[in-house]
Amino acid sequence: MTEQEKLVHAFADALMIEKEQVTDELKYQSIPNWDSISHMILITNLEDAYKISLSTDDVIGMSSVAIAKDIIGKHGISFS
Amino acid sequence: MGDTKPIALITGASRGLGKAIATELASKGYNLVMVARNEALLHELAGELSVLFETNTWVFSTDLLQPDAAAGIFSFLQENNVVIDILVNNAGIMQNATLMTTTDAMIDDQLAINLRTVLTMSRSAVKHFVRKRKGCIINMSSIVGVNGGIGQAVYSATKSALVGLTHTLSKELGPLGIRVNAIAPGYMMTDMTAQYDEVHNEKMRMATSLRKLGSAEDVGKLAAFLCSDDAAFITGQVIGVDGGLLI
Repeated sequence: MTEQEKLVHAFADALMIEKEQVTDELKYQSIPNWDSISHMILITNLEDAYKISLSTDDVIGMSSVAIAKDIIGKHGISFS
Repeated sequence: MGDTKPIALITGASRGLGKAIATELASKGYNLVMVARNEALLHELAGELSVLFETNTWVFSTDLLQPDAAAGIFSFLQENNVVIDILVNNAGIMQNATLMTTTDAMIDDQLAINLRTVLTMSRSAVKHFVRKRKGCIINMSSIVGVNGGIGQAVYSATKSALVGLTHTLSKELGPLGIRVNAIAPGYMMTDMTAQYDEVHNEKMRMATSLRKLGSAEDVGKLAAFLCSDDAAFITGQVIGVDGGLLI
């Protein structure tokens, strides 16, 4: 599974949405399924997928798929 | 460690209520992460519980006054591949003084241990629980957190804050299968109340409906119940263990 595929899977599973809906433009609370509850599941999904530990600032700052990539990228993960 | 017992993390586990909770949970088949300042006491208790109940324990000594204490505890858990099922926010300090004679240090210390640590520990523990869609947090409030107590402005404020926190977290985390409850002990015969004399103890005994003072074990038994699946439909509650104490 590529890093991008891991990301899409983590989002789709946490938010219970179709993989096609996971685009860089998707923003926190822009759809009903990405609420404060599913956000907690998303964080743990991403930590497990990439074997990383996200800080509280990361959790707060992860307001879109694009920003999630940036945050995960700080941990040495490349999406290119 | 290859067993499948649930794991409970208890702060302030070396003595008093924390020790009683640890002992009761161990007797019910839990493995334990025990946190306190006094490492020697923790190891002593760990040895006893291992002999009595074959309890596996992880001991972590830290000063919860330090802002990064919770981070240190959860880094330790990660390094040891320990995922907890239960968090008992038990550690607390009580420094009695009327508000006019309360120093800034007394305010800071009680806020740090009785409230800030509960917040930071719970925040970290939630990640463990979210993965399982199940978890249990017990916050140690107090009867004075509900009713107030002369000379306990800061202490009662912190314990009252835990009532609000318990209600809020139960709502935030309930959809993820995480239960959050608080215990509000009355006047218990523990290290924390050892500062009082017999006259005071007798006065408090007579103020209870049951005409008796509570023990740490009374709290331990309630904590074990709240952790168990028998309490699977109980969340957001503040349960008194006070013998009907009126204050």
